[in-house]
Amino acid sequence: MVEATIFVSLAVLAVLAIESRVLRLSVIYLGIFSLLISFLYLYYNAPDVAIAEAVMASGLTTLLFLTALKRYRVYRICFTNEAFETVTDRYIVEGTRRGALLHEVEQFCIARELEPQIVCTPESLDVVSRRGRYDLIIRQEGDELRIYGDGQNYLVDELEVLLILHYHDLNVRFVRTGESTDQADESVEGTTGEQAS
Amino acid sequence: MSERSIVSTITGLLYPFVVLFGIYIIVNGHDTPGGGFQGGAILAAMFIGRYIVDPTNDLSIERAVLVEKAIFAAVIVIPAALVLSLAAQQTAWLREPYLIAMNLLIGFKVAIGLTILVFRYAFYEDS
Repeated sequence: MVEATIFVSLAVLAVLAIESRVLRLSVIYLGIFSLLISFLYLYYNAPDVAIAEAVMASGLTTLLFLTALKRYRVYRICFTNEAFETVTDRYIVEGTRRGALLHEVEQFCIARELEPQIVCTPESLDVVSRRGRYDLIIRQEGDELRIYGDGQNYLVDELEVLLILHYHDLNVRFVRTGESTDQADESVEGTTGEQAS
Repeated sequence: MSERSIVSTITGLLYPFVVLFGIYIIVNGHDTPGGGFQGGAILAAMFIGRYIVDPTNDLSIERAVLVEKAIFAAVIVIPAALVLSLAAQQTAWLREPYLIAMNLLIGFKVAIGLTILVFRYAFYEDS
């Protein structure tokens, strides 16, 4: 019984890890997968192997993958709306037009092999841009959506064409920022260089 | 770094326990499951976890490589010396201290080696 449960959940976790579109989730699924395998070794009276599996696969490789993800080309998107006290994740996935837009941006990044990371916050634009670690800032102000992106980055150009074509009813306006903070510039340049090659 | 204060506080609380557990697995490895490699990997996981929380490069890689080489030399020299000296083969009391000492050496070597591996990858290799 224990065996069967573990085997079935192993298969489910393996499929989830492959099919998941967010890399961070895949890493977590793989970590749980290895932890279950180490339980299975323990069940088969092999504690030595179980310890090695738990430490190496569930601990070290998860940390190694997370380290690699830190160096992966992550496209950081920030969604700010000062009118709300708190912004929850539900706010984006609801079937609204705005949710569809964020989903479109996400698909845009995935199609270009970038890992999208969307952060929603009620903080003001100043606070967010001073932190300087977002490649794209989407700000809602009443009915208007303003998108702040680096003027040097051609990804922003492509995104502008796409969004204005499909979402003209949302009052989308693009604002080009020249020299933003160093960190943001660096990562954006890194992504364009990688894309060009 | 106020944004990461929850994670860094929790990991700060956990560090001593992780180190204790790793050393326990190394020292007790000769008669319970575990041993030098597993305990060393736990110690290395602690160092790498610290990098995930606070990515500052305050580890001198050259010095760590030097320490690792010294431990590796000890791992080779100590068993060889013990085998060559005939007197040691007749003393049964030496068996347990010898196993513990070797497990400790291998554990520290594995810990330092894995940490160097990840830190080199994280800070020096270009993508």
